[in-house]
Amino acid sequence: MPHVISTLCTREGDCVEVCPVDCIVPGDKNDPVWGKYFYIDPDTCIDCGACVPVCPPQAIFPLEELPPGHEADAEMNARYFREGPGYWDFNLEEQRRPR
Amino acid sequence: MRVLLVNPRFRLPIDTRTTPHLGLAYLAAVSERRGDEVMVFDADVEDESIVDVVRRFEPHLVGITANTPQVKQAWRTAQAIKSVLDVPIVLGGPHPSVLAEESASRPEVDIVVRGEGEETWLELSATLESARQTAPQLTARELLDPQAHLLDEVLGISFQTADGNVHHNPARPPIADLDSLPWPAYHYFKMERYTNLQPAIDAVDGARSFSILTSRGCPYRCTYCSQSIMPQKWRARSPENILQEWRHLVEELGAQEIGVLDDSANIRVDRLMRLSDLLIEHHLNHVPWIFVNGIRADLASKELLARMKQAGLKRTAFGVESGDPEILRSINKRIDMDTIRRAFKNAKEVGLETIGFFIIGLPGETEETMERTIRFACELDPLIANFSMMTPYPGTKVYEIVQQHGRMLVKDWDEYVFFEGRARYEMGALTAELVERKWREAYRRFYLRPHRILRTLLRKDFWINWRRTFRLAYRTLFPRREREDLRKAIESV
Repeated sequence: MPHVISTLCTREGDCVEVCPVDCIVPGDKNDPVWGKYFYIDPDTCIDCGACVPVCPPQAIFPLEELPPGHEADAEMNARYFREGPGYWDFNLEEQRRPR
Repeated sequence: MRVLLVNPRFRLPIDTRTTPHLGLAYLAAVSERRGDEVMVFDADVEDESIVDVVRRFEPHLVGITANTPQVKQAWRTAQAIKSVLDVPIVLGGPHPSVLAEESASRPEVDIVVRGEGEETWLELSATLESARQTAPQLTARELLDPQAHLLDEVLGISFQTADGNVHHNPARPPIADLDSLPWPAYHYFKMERYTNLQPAIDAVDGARSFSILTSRGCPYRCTYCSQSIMPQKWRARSPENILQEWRHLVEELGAQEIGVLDDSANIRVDRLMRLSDLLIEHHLNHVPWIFVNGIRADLASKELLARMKQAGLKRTAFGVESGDPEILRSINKRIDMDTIRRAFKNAKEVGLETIGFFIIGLPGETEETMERTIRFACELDPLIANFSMMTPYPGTKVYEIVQQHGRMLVKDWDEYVFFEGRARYEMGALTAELVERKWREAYRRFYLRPHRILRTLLRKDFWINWRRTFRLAYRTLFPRREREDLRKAIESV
C-alpha cells in the first residue's frame, strides 16, 4: 500500500528531502497539466511514511486513509508516472514553493 | 591534541559477549584523520582504572558515550575523571541525545552532543584547539564562560554555562555523504579481548568478529523504537564504498565473521543486490556475515535473500514484534503477518538461518494478544526466537504513552537493562504479573518443544559452547542474583 500526495499539496518539497527511495517527484511548475503538485511513484514507494509528518499542509496519506473527496488522487499519482512525465532531473529549490 | 574516548562499563545480564563500540570507533577515526593522538578506553575490557589512564594519558578532551542503562555509569566516570584532571568532558550517545538537559546540567559534564557525533566532535576539537592556542591551560570552566561565547556556533550541542543557564544550540544536519567518513578505527581497541554480538560461526570466543555499518537511520517510525531520535532521512553508503571496507576487514584484519549493524539495511533493495554482486565478484563471500539487528520483512524478496546468501549471508533477523494484527497496526510497523510469513519462508528456502524478534507487553496488549504472539513465533519457527519485554525508552512514542496513561515500574536508568525478566511498566489491565508470566511462557513454549530440543542438541555449537549456554539459561531463570552482580559491577568504576 503506497502513500499518496493529495491535491492539498502546495509544493513545499520537504517530502523529497526525506524520501529514502527517491520516489517523490515534482510536476514541472511550468507544466500546465502536472505543474500543481508533487507525485509519489506507487511502484517504488516502500510505505515508510517518512514524508507524512514533514508535509506542512498535511497533504500526504497512506492509500487506505485518503480523506473523503480525495480518492481519485491515488490514480493521479500513478498516472503521472504511467502516462505523464515521470522521473526527471529536477532542481528542488527551483521547483518548490519559494520560502 | 590528545583525545580520550570512553565506553563506560555496560554488560547485559543475559550474556557476557562484548564487541567494539562502533560509535567510538568512528569518532576515533575522524579524530585520527584530524591529526589527534587518540586513546579508546572501553571499561568492559580494560584492566586499568579510568583514573590511572587519565593520569597517564593526560587528555585535552574526553568523550564518553552512553545509552540509557549506561548513563549513570557515564556520569560516575566523568566524576572520576574530573577528580584527577580538569579536562572538558563531552557526553554523547542515544540517552543524552534525547535528554540533553539532564546531562548538560550535571557539574561533571561540560558538553552534550546530540545525535550523530562525528562532525560535532570534530568541530568541538577544532574549537578547543583554537582556544588552547591563546590559552594553553584553558580549563573546562573557561570554555563554558558565558562571556567567552566559544561554543555559540557549534551545532548539535547542549551545555551549561558558568552562570547556570543551559544552552541548546540548533541541531546539526545529518551527514549527507556517508562515503566521506573514514572506516571505524579498530586499531585503537584491544580486539583480542572482544567476542562478538551474534556468532555466525561455531567458535563464539576467539573468532575475529567485526561490525560494519552500511546505512544509518530508519525512515519508519515504530512506536517502541528510539530511532525517532535520529534524522528521518535514511542514508546509505554506496556499495563500492562498503566493498572497500569489507575487503579491509577480511584481507587486512582477518575477519572471520562480519556483523552488519544497520537498523534498516534493505530500504533500497537495488543497493544490497549490487553489494552482493560485488562481494561475489571480489571473492569475499567465503566470510559469513549476518544482519544483527534484522531487516524489513516486506522489502526482503526471495531474489534478494538468495543473492545475499550467495554473497555469504548466513543469518538474518526480522522484527516481527507481534502476532496480533491490531497490535501490529498500533505500533506503526507498517507490515502485516502474511508478509512476515512469506519472508521467513523465503529465507529458509534459500538456506538462511533466521531470528525472530518479538515483543511481549506492548501498550494495549491482553493475555490473548500475547498468546497470539507466542503462537506466531512457534508457527514461524525461526532458529532463534528473541522475546523482549516491552521497555519504554526515553525518546520513543511508547514512553510518552506510558507516561500519560500508565505507570513506570523502573525508577532508575540503571534498571533499563533489558532481558532481565521484570516488567517495566503497567497500564490498565496490562499488569506486571501478566507480562512477566507470558514472557516466561513464551521462552518455555518456544524452546521446550520436542523438535526444538532435538534441533538444539544436534547443533555443533551447542556442544562447543555448552558452558555459555547453561550460564545463559541460569541467568534467565534466576535474574535476581544476576541483577545484584550487575549492579555491583557497574558501580565499581
